[in-house]
Amino acid sequence: MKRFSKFLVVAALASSMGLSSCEGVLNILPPLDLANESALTNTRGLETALTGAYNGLASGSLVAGNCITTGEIWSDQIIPASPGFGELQIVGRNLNFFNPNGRSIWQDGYGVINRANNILDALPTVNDSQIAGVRDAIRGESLFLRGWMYFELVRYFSQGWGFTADNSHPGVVLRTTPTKGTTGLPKARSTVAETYKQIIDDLTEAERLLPAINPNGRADKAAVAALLARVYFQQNDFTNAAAAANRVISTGRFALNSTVRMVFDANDTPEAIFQLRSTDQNNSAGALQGSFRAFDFDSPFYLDEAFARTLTTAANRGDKRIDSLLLQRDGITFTTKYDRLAPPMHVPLIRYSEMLLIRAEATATSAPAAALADVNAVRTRAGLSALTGLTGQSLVDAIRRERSIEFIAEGNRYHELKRIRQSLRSTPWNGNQTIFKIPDVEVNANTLCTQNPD
Amino acid sequence: MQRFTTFLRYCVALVLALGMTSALALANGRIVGKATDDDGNAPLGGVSIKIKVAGKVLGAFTGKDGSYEIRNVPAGTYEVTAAYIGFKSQTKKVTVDEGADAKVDFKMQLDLLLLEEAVVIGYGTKTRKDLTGSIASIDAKEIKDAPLPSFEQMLQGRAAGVQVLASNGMPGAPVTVRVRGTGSITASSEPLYVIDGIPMTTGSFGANFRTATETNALASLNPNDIESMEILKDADATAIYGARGANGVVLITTKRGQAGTTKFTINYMNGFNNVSNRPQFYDGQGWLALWNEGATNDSIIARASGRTYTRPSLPLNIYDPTSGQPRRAGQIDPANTNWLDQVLQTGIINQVDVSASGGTEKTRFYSGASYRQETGFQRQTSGERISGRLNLDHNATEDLTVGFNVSVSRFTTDRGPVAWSGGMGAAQSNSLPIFPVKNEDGSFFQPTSGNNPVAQLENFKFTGVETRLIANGFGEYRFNTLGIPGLALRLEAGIDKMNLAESFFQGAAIRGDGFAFSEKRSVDVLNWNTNTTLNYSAKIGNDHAITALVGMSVNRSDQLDVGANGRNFPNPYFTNPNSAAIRQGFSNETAFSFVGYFARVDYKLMDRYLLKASIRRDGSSRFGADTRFGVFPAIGLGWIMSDEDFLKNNETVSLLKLRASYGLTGNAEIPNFERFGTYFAGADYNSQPGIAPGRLQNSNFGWEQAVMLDAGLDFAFWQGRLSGTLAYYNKTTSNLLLNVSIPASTGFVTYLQNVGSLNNSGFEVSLSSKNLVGEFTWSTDLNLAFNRNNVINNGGLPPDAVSGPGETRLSPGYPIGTFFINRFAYVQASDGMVQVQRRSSDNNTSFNSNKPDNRDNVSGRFIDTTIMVRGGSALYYNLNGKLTDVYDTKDRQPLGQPYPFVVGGITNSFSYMGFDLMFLINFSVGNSIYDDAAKRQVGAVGFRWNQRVNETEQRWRKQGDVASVPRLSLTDSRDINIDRWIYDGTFVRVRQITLGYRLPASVLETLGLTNLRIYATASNPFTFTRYPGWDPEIQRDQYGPQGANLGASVTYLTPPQARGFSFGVNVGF
Repeated sequence: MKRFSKFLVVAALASSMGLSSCEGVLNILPPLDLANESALTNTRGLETALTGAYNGLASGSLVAGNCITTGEIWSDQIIPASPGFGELQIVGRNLNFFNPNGRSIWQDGYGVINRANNILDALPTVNDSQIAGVRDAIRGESLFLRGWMYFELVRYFSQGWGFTADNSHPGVVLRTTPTKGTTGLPKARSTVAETYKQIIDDLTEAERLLPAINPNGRADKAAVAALLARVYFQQNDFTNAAAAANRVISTGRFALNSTVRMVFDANDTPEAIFQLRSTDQNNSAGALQGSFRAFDFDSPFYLDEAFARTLTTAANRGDKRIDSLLLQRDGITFTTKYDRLAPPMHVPLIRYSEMLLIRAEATATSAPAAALADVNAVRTRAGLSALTGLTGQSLVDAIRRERSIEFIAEGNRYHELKRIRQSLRSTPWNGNQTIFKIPDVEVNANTLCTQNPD
Repeated sequence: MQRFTTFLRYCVALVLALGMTSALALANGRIVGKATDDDGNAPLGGVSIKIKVAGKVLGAFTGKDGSYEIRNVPAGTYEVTAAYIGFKSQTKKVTVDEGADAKVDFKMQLDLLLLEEAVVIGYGTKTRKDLTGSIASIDAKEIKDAPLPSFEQMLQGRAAGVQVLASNGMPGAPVTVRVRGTGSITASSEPLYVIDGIPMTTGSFGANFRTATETNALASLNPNDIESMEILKDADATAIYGARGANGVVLITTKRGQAGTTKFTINYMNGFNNVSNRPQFYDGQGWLALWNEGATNDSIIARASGRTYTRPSLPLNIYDPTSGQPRRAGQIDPANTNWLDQVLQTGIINQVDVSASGGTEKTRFYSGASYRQETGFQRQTSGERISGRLNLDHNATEDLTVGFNVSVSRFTTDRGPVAWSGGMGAAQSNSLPIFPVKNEDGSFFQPTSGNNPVAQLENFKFTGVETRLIANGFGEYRFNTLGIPGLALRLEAGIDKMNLAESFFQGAAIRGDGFAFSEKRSVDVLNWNTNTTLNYSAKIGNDHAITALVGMSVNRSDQLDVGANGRNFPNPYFTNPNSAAIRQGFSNETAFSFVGYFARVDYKLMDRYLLKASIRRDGSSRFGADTRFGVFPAIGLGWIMSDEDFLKNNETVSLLKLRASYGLTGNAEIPNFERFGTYFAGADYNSQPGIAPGRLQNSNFGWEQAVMLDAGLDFAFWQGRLSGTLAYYNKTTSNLLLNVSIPASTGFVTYLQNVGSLNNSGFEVSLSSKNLVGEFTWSTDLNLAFNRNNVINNGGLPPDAVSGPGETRLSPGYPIGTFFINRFAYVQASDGMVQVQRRSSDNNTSFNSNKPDNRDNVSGRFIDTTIMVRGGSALYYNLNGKLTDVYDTKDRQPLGQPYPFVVGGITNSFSYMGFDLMFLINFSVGNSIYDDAAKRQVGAVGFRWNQRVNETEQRWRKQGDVASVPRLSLTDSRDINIDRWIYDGTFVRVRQITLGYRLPASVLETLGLTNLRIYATASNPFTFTRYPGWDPEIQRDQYGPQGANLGASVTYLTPPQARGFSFGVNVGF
């Protein structure tokens, strides 16, 4: 019996050894990913997450690609060479909620918004020694990214500013907190007025928080002010647009490059107010270079023939924006803006000439002489003669004409036509077919989200 | 560990003490005798003879001549028991006088019932008669002559409710096993494989996308080391495996040595194989004739509608030297290449196995070594396996047994491209017979569109080397000496270490200059497991027998992949990625673990009422924070009616047993880290490292669960001349993982949730008949399985949300993987007006709705119209069942039957004198095959593919033809998914015929052998089917479990099974 009890002790020990160690075996963390709880607990985590948000911004599905090409083919300057399913719907004004172009702007745009919301949410909880100097910048940049994404979304998925008198028509789904769980996710669309208010609030706060200069292709005060100028201008709020453009111009940091090619041929030129930086590993220009590649004459997008013919009229003779940025072959006109492959091309998303032209149009009535000076600065650089004596509508028309040539293939035209309420080809600016349907990936699961009418 | 060794030392000391006491005995006698077969003619070796002396067991085994001797028997009267597997045990009384010999002979009688046979169950064994669950057993003897590469394939057609699909006949090809139907949608439906108590690493770890062929981790195991396989089918049997039992469990027991003279066996097998069921394709002239007919048809249609017609050029880059233009059909002598002949070959199989087993009462061993080399029926495919095993058992004391098993193997494959990837897939599709193999200058011909599979094979090298070490040890301590007979503690621990090293090289010739590509990749998987069990069995009085088990099990698996690839090599000599101008490295790792606690009680009342209850609590690293552990109980009941008084002495009925079980099991083959909400790295910008949210946390993430009811009747008549089982089961699997949509404005699009459910229910019949016994024996085994699969809940997702290969989808109310395609109506015989229905809106362009595309088919959106339909045009039925001339994917509907009504197998075995003959027939009735390539291979010459002759010859040719294949055309899109490509997949296949001859005992004796048998086997010699493609027994290459679950009956240029012939020799001494 003594042997037996001795054995029981041994057996009990042997099995308890097994038992105590085993439950720990269940704790395996994902080796390739980082658990949410530990991702944003320090400054380094927030900074890398912010880099991750810029990564979303720089993806080809948003402002450095899809947002540009989609708008261009919707309007009257660019056509797709061999349109895919999504492009056919846009060109044919036959949109449905499966449209892949719309889906990618929606999905990836909200992806950036969620990345920004996560940072904004975690920021107040981080109090380590590194945070003090960068807290404002992190907050400002996150707001800048969120504001910009809502600006892209509201312009592609909602009717334009002024579609209803009080802008109470549907805007987009506004989310300003990060998605953490899977319950209570359906949310209704806010109005366009509310959406623009969110955009302006985000950007105004961002401008206040950000430093004057933020290197490495990140947003600074001037970049946010420039984007704000664009937002106000889209609302035809000329006072605020001019003021914002003025804030950029008055920094004195920016100027027109000596040649129009230089904007695209060189990185970090004085004309670039906000540019997405590219490196060998992270080429932000890849999508645009794939879409507008004149170098092998196999570009998926080229200039509409009728539009290209208007560029050959006498009024445009000597325009370097046509002579040195467009290329004709076999009757097809390509843009060469995105042709530089090496060194990696920074994408100049907001440039100085836009600020000049926004200020010009915004002040055309109130200060026509100054407006004329602004537009002439752009014209002269393009090798054209200075305009004189224009006022009123003819001045406005002249400025808009410069915009239409200055920003070919830069994603301006679609938003411009809707702003000035001109038809997109034969479709009225406020037609149902001028905006995307809310994508399937939203309405299938968001019971509160209304669809745009057919 | 130190405590355990102390324990061992203590035990060893105990044994030594006991040994000394027994040595003191004096002047003892002997029991001697002989065991023979029933007739008293042939001696039986290996029979265990035992007596009990003062509570201890003395024993011996009979030798080759059947004789035995038990020494040191004190004077007294004893019960001598003779036992041998497959024979009824016998007990005789004998009195031994002091110092004298007592003689006891046994005539062993065959046991046809095998009711006392031990069956391996989870963490133990049990006699067959006492089972309450559904377990199919396969004996090694039944499977030994099949020239099959992996053991799972040997289950094919042998056990009811176990469906085995070898995806094709290539070396190392994967095998899909379904126990009672497909039970999951996105997770694996493969059973758990447990070898000698240790769960194995299974699956495909290869870079499958390179060749459209997957690999099978289990193919490195030598089937000849296997003693038996048990397939646990119902919850009663599998609940002890808890969260991993829902798909069934395959228990593999390897051979162990038995005390006695050392037995040697040598088996040699040699064979060859070819493709089975090869359909006929067109030759060069025949294909050109089709092309010209298509062009003529197109021009007639074009002229009739006033359009000009431009004939498309042949996909042949042979340029006319004078005009510089491609030569047109009729202007050239087409080559006449039979591409299939160019890429196929006769495969050769060579296999040799040697084994030695034996030992003493105290220490027993089994050792086996095997070498197998095979070349596949396509060039550039081969497999080679070398393996060795050593199993040791040692009775350290009377109470303590320790053992050790180790197996090492290396399995090398050379995988060539097949199906869509090239090889014989290209040879029957876009490698046109008009292409020459080589240009006049001797270089390989490269068509402008299409493929040259010979050039591809020459420039393609993809090898995999799987090296595997499986080792486990155990100690079992019985508490007999300590006074608790029936109590045993067993500790076992094992590892399964696998490495797969893959090497891929593709020469510049097929990727273009400078684009040679090379990749090296290594996958390491280390899987370890420990089991601790305490088992107690006792008989209380005459009426109560109880067995109880408690235990725990810990398991963890870690996988690490590393690799590198390179592009752009200086010249063809350099093939290592390191030599390339552009180099890239990659790595991946993953892991999972399980901890389980389990208990089981078996209670038997009055030798005929059975109750079994088991429970397991399982935790896994895969389960979410709120679902860390699951509890999986099961209960089984049995009633051995034949042991009731009213049947006990019945001459006819030997066994009648009713049993039923009900229980809950889980499927934990779910993604490893899906429960975590995570940030991923690599969201970089401006060469700065960035992170971004990748997935939402799911605290409720967990196993899929199956509730299973099983009821069975086991019967045997006339002493087992006829026996069998009828079983019914109903298994509902719920909490199936599906990617459920969430609003994209959250930043996420889907979320993997436990929401779906499906049901498998069915009926199984197993019958075994000894038609003739005696000198001439004939036995027949039949098994039938009727399974119904039905998707209950698909999470409310549209059909396209869950898709598998070949247009298979998930539709509630239909079996998983039902084809979701359009209905074909007929081919218009002559030009004429036909009333058709079209969609009213937007000129029939698809998708103009803000609703999912399958929900807009409401009335009012269709218009009926009468149109001119040209002879030879195809007409379809739309969703309303109305004729339409427009193929629209909105008209897709669930069609076809991916699963058979019944599958089964019949084995007939005969033996006479030394001859034995066996044939195995498999059949599958009532399933459809969706041939995804047929749309391009049947009357679709415009696709620039070769065509199947048998069906294409039934095409429309002229006005008035009533045909099943539309007119040929070079311009009509024929790349459409219609039910014309659903074929009847019913087949009856003679899977194996083996004829053997064993030399008579007298001859063997003079040769000094115990066995010499020669045999010949034909594999898949005959197949009867109406399917006009290659092989009705098929599974398309599919990546991941979802593809396997949905693509049960889909083919796309998939290679067929092998048909072959082999002969072999078995030698024993």
